[in-house]
Amino acid sequence: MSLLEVSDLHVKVADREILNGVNLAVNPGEIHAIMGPNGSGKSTLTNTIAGQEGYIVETGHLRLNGKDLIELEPEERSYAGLFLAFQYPVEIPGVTNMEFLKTAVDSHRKQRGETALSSVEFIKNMRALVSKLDFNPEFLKRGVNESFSGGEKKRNEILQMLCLEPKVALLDETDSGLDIDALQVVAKGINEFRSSNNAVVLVTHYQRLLNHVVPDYVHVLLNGTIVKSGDASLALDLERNGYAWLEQDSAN
Amino acid sequence: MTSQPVKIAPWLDAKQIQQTVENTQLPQPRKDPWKYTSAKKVLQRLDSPFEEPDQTPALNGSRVLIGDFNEPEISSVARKYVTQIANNSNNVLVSLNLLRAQRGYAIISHERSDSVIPVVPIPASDSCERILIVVEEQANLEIVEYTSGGNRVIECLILPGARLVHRRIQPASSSVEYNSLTVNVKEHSSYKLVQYSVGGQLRRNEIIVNIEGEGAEVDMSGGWKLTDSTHLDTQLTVNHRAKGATSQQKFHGVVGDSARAIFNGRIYIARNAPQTDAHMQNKNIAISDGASIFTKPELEIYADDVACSHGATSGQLDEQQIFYLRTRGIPDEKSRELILEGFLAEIVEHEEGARVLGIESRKVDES
Repeated sequence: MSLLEVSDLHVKVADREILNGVNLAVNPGEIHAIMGPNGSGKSTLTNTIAGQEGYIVETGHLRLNGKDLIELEPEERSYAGLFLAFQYPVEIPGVTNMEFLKTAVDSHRKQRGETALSSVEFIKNMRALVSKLDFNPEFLKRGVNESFSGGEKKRNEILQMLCLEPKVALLDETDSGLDIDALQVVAKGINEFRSSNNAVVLVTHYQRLLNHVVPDYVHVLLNGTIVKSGDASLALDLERNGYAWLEQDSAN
Repeated sequence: MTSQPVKIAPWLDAKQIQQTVENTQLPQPRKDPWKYTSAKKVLQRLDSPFEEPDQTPALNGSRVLIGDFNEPEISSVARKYVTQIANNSNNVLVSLNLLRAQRGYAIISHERSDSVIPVVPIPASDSCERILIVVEEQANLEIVEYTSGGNRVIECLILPGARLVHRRIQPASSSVEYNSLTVNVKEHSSYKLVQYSVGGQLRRNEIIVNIEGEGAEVDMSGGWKLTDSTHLDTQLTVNHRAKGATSQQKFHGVVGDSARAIFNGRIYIARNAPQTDAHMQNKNIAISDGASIFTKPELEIYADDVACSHGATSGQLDEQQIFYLRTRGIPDEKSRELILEGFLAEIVEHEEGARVLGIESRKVDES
């Protein structure tokens, strides 16, 4: 059974059909990359999977580990093992990263019938995680994404992913706006995270990240459907040739 | 009508104050600055009996004098400043407070040491009081004021190089409450106010800061959390009348149920106040359909070469923030709570403030 199963997914946003029949099966241990030009539906796909309001599933299925996601609230999808790294991480002023992460982890534990970690224990775990990723521990004391640089925000998403240990991580353009150092930290985080029990879906514009995190499959999303799938070499073809040849293909 | 002498300040000419009252226009209903608060209720409150005030707070072993206006050590200072700081001529309530006050006392600090800043409490009381605070040149003082009902006028003078920290705590109150605070700051002195409020039946805070000396620093912040049908009205004015001074105002409010929050923040920069740096910000979040928020920034600038900003917002919780937290597994209700707590935490500096605003349980201890 696939970890993440998207079948014949049709999604409307503000009465416009954005996705028209997306199929995707992600198995444990796999890394998938979804590429495509602006406006092809990449973010619609990730937002729909995460349960953003206003993304209306017309038909199709969304399953995580066999569990139907469509009727679930965003937090329930998180408990089911889904994680979305946002393209534009949101600032929550006045709430420290530490507080935010603890509340999130405690909510997950509660869901599993476990008691909350003590602050001391939690802080110890977080410090270990932060140093493993070469993050500055100051990171934890700051307001969530508040006056973070673009790179820091993306690194913070990776930190949350490692902290919540999801089964499926969707990373929506986590590589965009990163300098080379930040890109390597993000890649390190993803490689740290991946295991034979989980899966990663990278949504990206560029080949860049894929040099550091090698995907098993590359899919091209165009006009709301996946028009081509292949292995890592497809990303290199796209980097060289762009999307135009596929657009012609899909028009025919 | 024959005038009784002014009980708390017998040296004042009661007849003249009575005359001032009669010559002053009464607050006009539904007009600024009483557009959203009933002046009638505040005036009526002055005509009904107040509770007897508690004992004047005392402080031992410090270079701070506290005593009633007519005590020998106090009276010369009281005679010099009472009625000279708060403006009687256009605010009838300030004059009426003087006539009705059951008690008038002064807090005078001479303490120059930075290591033992005296902390003086002003207890809550549902009575009518006049208070004078004087921080002498180069001296320090910290005031922790509680309000709960009553009618209180504070006149405050911060002399050159002096520093005053004023914490004002306003817990729930079921009566009509009026607070007038006027602060005159002299050169290179500083005034810092933090004010934490929950609503009262009717709670009105009028705050006027007059910057009268070069290089003075004024920093005012605070927040409110209003529930039920409570009402909080904050009228804040900073008058820059000297050059090179700075003033900051930052207030955050959360308003729920059918509560009502009013904030009027005014910055005035006189012609003789160049190189002023003045900023004001008020943000509100309404968490119910029945909540009302009226916030208005005002800016009046007559000097050149000033840095000035102001902003006032009121809105609802940000759906994108809620979604973000929910995708991390934090339930909807808890997400809203966390965002509101963070919003208030931005203006909370003290445990006590956190307690009044009900956000004391939120911290993950870093130690």
